[in-house]
Amino acid sequence: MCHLVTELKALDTQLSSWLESASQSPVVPVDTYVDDLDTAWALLKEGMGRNGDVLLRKIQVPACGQELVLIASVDGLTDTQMIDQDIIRPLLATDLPPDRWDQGAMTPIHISTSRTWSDILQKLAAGNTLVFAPGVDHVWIVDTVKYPQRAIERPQTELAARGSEEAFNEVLLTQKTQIRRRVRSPALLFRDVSLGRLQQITVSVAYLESLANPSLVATAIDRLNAVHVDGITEITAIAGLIRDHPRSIFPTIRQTERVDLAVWRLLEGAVVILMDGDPFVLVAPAPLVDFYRTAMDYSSSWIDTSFVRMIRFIGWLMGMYLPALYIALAEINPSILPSSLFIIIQGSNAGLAFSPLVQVILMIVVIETLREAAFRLPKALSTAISTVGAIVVGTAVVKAGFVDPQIIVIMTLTALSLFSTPVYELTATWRVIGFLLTLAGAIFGIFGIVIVTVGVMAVLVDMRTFGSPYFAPWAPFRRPDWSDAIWRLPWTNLQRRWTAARPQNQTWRTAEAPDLQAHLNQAQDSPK
Amino acid sequence: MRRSRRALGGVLAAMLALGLSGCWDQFSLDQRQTALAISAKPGPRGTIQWRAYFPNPTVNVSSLSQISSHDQFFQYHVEASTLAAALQAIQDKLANDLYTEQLQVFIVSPRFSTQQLASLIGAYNRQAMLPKSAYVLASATPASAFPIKIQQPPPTVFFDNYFNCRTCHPLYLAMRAWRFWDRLVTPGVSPVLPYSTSALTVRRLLVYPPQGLPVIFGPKASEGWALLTNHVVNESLTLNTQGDLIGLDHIRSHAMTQVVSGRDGLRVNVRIQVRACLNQWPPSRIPTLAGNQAIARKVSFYLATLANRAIAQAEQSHTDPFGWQRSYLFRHPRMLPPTRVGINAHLSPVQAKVTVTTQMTSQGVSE
Amino acid sequence: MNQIVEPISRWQYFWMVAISTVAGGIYLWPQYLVQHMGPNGVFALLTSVGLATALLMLQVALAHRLNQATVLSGIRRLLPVLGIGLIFPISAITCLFTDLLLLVLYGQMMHNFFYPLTPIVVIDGLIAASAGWVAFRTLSAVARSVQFWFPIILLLTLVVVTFSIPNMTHLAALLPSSDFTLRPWVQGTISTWFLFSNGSVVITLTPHVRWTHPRQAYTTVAAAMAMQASVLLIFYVVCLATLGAPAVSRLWWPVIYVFSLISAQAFFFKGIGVFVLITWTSAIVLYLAVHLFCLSFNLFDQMAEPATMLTRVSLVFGLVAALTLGTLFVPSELMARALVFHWVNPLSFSWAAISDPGLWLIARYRRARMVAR
Repeated sequence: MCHLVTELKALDTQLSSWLESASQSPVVPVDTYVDDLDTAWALLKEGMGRNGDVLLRKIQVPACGQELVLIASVDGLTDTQMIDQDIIRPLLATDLPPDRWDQGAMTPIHISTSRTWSDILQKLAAGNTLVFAPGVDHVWIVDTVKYPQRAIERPQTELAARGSEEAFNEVLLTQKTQIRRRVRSPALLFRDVSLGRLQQITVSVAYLESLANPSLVATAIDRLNAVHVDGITEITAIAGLIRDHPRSIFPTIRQTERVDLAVWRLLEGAVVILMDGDPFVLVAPAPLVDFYRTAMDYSSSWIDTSFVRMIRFIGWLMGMYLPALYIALAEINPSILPSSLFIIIQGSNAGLAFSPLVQVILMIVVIETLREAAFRLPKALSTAISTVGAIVVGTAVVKAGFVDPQIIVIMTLTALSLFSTPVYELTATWRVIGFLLTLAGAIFGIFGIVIVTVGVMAVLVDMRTFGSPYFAPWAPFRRPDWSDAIWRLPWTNLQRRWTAARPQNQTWRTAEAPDLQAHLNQAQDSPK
Repeated sequence: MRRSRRALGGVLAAMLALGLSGCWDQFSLDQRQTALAISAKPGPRGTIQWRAYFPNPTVNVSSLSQISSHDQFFQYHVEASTLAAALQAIQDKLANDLYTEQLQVFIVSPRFSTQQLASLIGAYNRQAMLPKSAYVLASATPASAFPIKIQQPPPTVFFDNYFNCRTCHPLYLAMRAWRFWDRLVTPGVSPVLPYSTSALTVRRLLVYPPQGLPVIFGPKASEGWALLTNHVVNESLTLNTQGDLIGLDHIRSHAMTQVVSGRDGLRVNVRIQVRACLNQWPPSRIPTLAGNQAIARKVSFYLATLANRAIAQAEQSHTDPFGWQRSYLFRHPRMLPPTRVGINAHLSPVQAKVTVTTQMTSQGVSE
Repeated sequence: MNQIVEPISRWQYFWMVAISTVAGGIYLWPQYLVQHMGPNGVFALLTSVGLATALLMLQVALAHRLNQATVLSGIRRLLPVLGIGLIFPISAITCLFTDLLLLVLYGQMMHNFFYPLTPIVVIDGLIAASAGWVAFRTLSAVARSVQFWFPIILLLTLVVVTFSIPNMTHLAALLPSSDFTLRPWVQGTISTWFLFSNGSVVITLTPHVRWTHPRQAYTTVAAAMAMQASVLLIFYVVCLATLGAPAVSRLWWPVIYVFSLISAQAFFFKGIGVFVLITWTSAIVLYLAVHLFCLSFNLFDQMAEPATMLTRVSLVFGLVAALTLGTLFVPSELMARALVFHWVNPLSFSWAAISDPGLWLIARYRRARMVAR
């Protein structure tokens, strides 16, 4: 009962203040701020002011005579020292009229005004400081935002033996700064989009204006604007809402936490989407080949990179086809195997209860469970789990007669190959397709594997990523992109940008740098 | 769009259900009984006695040393008139599926006539599940003592390894099933089979005339055949000249054949170039160029004698195991009289001239 | 309509034309030819390739003249009643029937060599469904599938052919015979027409290619045919040089037989059959996919609005179902062979020889009349 009375009182106060505000001018909308400090105080006090961290303070400013000035901020989100030194202290000393306080009274650089309560409250929630001055029909909004943020750390998911070790953190402004520090060009633009009807989170589209295709930028912004949600906490969710083929198991937009990779993509003409609150950024477009280009590929020698990429490709082949081929060759098309190999496989399987297909499925479950357990547990425990798992899988399962040792070898190679995929989200995709291939191999042998492969390829070549073919440079065949696809040519051979982003300027490096040539000529001509 | 996806999903589900309900050709590993060798010999009352040899199902790399040679293979014996009936009869005796796609050797008796063997090989060739690259050979060894339990541990059988080793033996006489069938159905060439004696050596040939039982080419005629058809791969030779023994090894030959039609039949000109390594001679002799040339002439003469012996035996048995007439008939198919079309039918007698030249080399470490 | 067709590149067109001609029935090659012509089969090969190229050139010229989105709309414009009621249906049915018989024979081959216990209809159904899965997509997607797979197929084929070189011992069998007669030559030429039954692919696709010059269409088609002719010639050489003409004429699947003899022990493959399975299966899937795409695209174009994606999917999978069910009505391999060699080939050849030049002449006549007016 008491609680109800309190609630009713609060409601009554709020309605009264609204009525008072509305009665002053019949044409003023309810959302519009009117110059009335008491009403503003009441509104804030009964609204956001119910939170303990919202600070409301009235101060006596000499320039306003007897009237008070209301200052509102959110504790923790704002830099209180800045409020004291850059807002309150100058106000107490100023003689400028309130409508000119941005010209000398308040010292922070980011000062704006607002006349609508929805905007005012949103700005307050975002960490700005509001200054309600008498005699002006707007509120001063001073940027005093202070972000609690992690230090810039090493990337956790995209490791590299050498090269930059800088990862993004959760703060959008820091993310932008990290990019800006590497691209010191006026062409670098960030287009902010506010997402979430309730949450109002800022998402920013970064691109190089002179390079990125305008239609690509427009597509990215349009797609972000088309996201109508109450709130969103993960950039993965945004990726799922704006990417092409949102139901496809193939990722059509890339996520990265590496600053160097994001910058490299910007220089290729792609757009990078940043989100406040997520240390990962999105890169678009992202054809399939892009998921196999790691940051380390560009910090190693071309031969090393090319070799590693080939190994990745062989690893992919093994991960995809090894269990399927084993089952197909052992159970349906053994005529392809040499007699010695087939009979040794037969001998190895003698007396086992399960068929190779069941054994493979059993091993998939064991490996996935171990992986999940090792991932979830603390590092110290996960090592122990891995060791126990290896012992169980390596010896006990074989001795117990559940699984053939050859299948242990096959599945270990498969797991190693699949987990060597550089981008995590693609690992899951290939695991699913590998399972599909295994099933097809178990039913129709090589024929089934071929049919599934043709089917998957038909889907892949039909996909797009922000207007670019997903399976380029293979299909459609794009010869220039082959210089940095399965292998990477030496830097001197790389002269063009990837075609995927359709940049305005295709030339990444001119064959002969005019400045360098001039410099060399000058050096030759100069007297020794 | 949603309906189209549903329709697609329905089709896919139906296909999946159909596929899962099948697995028609899927046999688990222990359901297949792998036959590695099959032998056939004429039996009583016009039947054929067949034997199929299977490796012990528990053979694997680690168990191999623990299984005695007698237990490494097992066999089934059936009597049937045709290959299909034989396979069926063997299948009846097995608890599992008779799996023949890994067959390595098909051994036939020399007592089969050309027609009987052509019928058998024709049936073998028509069976898609029998590998056409298996070796076919004739063996005088009784089928009950078929030599698969010696020398080679499973899963390979002796003759498979023997023929797979291309340069291990003096003459390469291996004959794969498809090549034998090809010779059977191609006019102008007589099919030949390597003939293994009880000592397991393969230095003889069986040559199949158009009719009747095969002709046995002895070791020298077989070597002559090998010389004329480029099958000498690692021969050795010992010459006795005036009481001195001269040893040659690593003998390889290359024959170039020219076939032209003459008034009285085909004229064949064969030039055989032989390379031999001189590795033994009497200590009293100092090797000289003239001496080497003299030895080379003797080697050439001896090898030409072997080749002529093979030609003579072929002529005598009205066969052409060299395929000279075939190469002529390829270009002139109308030369084949219609009445003679059929199993290895051939033309008229052949007049062959053989020239052998030998080049001596030395691979020793001293003179 | 725009969803289905966006222009493809010249090279994609090249691969599509190539796969739509020979790939579907290459596994039957060259038995029937050798049976009739022996070592002179190469003359029939050259003749049929020449004839097919000439007819395809006419199709390109016709496509340029009609300048319509589909062949059906072009014929409709040219001969409103006869085109819709007779010419297109006969072309479509001939193409579908040839495809059906080739599918049946392929299923039979798979059944004989690799899957003796799997019902043929399942094999055929899977192949047809896969073709449908590729074909219901856009032109560029189909073109990309073909462009991706066909070079791989050719590369694998080349590998298999290289491995078969040691078995090629009868080089004398390749020399043409001195006995050349007319009747077997004509018979040999017509008996291989199933390889060149193009299913109106050229005439349908030509308007949807990014040409820099109209002449490029002719050179591209000629290049595609030259490539396929060289593939046929290579297989012909491999078969004859391995087995000789008498043995080849006795085999139903000479190419498969020859390739099954190869083993690459260094790579742990006893039978190279696996490559045959991969290359032939993907080739026939893409061959059918291109034919299904073109046929369904022509029909889809004529449908009353609103023709949705569902309509297109239904159309393609309806054709797939018709093909699969059709295989049930061809009871044996012998009948399929008899139908292909004795009925479909002569009919298809005659129809192509009449309709292609006929349509081109009519188009030319109409154009001349229009210019005269």
